[in-house]
Amino acid sequence: MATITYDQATLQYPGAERPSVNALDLEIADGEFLVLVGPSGSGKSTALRMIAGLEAVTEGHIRIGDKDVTSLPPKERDIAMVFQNYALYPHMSVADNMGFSLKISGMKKDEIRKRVEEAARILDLDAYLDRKPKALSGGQRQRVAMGRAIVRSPQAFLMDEPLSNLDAKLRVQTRTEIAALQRRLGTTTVYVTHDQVEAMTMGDRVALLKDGYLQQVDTPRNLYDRPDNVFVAGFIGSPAMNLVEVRLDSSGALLGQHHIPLPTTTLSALNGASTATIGFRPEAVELVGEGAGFPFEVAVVEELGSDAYAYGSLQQSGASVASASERLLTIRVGGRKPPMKGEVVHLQVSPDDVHVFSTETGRRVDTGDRQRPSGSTRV
Amino acid sequence: MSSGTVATPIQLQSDTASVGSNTKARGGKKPDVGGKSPLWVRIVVGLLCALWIIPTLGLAVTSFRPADQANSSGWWTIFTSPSVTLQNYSDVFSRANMGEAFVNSVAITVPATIIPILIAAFAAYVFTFMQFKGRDFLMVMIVALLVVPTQVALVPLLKLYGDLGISGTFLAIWLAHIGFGMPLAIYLIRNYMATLPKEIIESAKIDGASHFQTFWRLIIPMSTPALASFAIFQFLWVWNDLLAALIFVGPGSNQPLTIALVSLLGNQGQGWQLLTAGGLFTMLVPILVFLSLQRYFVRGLTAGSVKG
Repeated sequence: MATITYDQATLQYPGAERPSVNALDLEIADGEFLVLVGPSGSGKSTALRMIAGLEAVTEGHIRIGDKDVTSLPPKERDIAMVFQNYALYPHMSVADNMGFSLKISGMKKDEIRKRVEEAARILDLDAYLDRKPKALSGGQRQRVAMGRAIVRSPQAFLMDEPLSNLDAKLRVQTRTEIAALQRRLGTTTVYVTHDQVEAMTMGDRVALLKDGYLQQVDTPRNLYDRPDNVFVAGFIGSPAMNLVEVRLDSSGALLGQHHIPLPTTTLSALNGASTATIGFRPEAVELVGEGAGFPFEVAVVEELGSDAYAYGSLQQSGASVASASERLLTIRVGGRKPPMKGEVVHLQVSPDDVHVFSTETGRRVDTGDRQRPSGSTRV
Repeated sequence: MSSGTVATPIQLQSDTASVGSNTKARGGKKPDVGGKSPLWVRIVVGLLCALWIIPTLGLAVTSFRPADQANSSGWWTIFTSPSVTLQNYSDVFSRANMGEAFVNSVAITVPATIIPILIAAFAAYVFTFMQFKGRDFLMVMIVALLVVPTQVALVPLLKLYGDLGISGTFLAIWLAHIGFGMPLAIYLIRNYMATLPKEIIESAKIDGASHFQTFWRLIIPMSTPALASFAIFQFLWVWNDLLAALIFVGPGSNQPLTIALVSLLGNQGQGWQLLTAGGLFTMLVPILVFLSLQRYFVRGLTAGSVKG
């Protein structure tokens, strides 16, 4: 078990215009479950493969524990990796698959057998040890891939979207199992996913990447409550945060005819800009009676049972809302009495729940209402 | 809306099944995946098979007919006036020393099949999974060698063998066949290896396997279909080869079956019924090899390795 450190780690593929991973600085604590998340092409898998030694770092360093592993081959890094497509050895039985690395390292047969059986017990694979991978279901194959990693008791687990090939239900179940297994073994784990729900539910901390740059790394709660920039705000959370570009006046923002007061600290931080991007989460909205709040015309309602999400747009009598007409806003409403399609409801957004971002830089403008928690990094 | 809501009828498993089969039955024609092919396809395939098999059958029948009958009537007359003899076989073995030739053929063919496969598999691994300067250029060179006719190498090789003093030995013919078979072997096996999931190699790297261990424990077992198909090709070429055998070995104590067969035939073509017996005998081994290796031609040897 060990810490993993990216120290200005950069990787640029030959012939690529820009680095796939750009000066990544990130420290993963001993025993931590860190999730790397981001859209396709964000460099998250590349960042993971850099730890594994499958990609050569072009600049900077990678350390596992106190050891600089930047130029070491994968086998000397003492890590185990779980691949998206499992990469099981098709001609070997489950037991041989799991014991392969131990056999290579020259361990005695009965010791291998002991460790394989122990891992199989943890993963509930006892009954399948003599089967070939092709005789297993997708979920079982996934567990064999996990088993191959845990028999080695490595310094760290690296997982590259290990759940993407499972069906939705099994994915949710396995998600919990992997998280529980990691807590139990206490092995430092780096987990790559493009699914923000997986990231939020599994990670001790979540690192969000985009275009090779680290956007923010923080606990799931802080990422959700205090996104550092517009991208993080829009990526984390499902359904996504509503982001609207608004005009500013001397005391706040104008959304339609509605005035949202903003703290003076925020306004001064915006430095006299004429517009800003404000964001509010679907659940930060309250339905109020007519006459108060903004009128909101419902276009689509999605009922989920406990909740319902209403998609629609702000009714505008003036041309004061810049981009609200282009994108539908999402609000969460009670699941028992959702509004009907075409209905006009009135919304109120609590000023405390409004996130303000600079239009120019996309960065968060601190509203100063909450203490910034320690341990979070800002780009 | 209405006062009494009608409960959705619960569909039992058996109901659904019967509904499903009903629709199928009513649907009539459904695409039958992997089922029977249309009649005309089967007729054409049957004709092709017959076309290929009849001459071989004729050869087999003739080899069991007495020489004078074989010379005067066609092989199909055996069905009307059966008369069978093993004389041809005993003649072949007594006159032409087929036993020794058979051993020679095996001694030539087995190494000339296994050695190029081994070397080509190594080379294919390197070309597929290792990065080095000039890799693509070398690969292009090897593929280019595929179009060079064997004949251009005959004279230089013969001179070289003469200088080395190995003319007429097994070593000479082994080297020739290994060289002639290598480009295709590398090409075929490399193309197959390139289809193996690269995550398996990466996984092996992380598991701590060296290149040799990855090659020997993972890539070779997973490449058996390609290795087996090339093995059959190479075996048949070498076994049936007369040209290289005549040039590099020649008639004598090292001669393989092909040369022994030719020597059965007199200058005026007399003794051709012996050729049928010898030919049939020569065919046995390739057929056995094919039958024993054909189980490796199953597709999907990598099944279960990656996402399924």
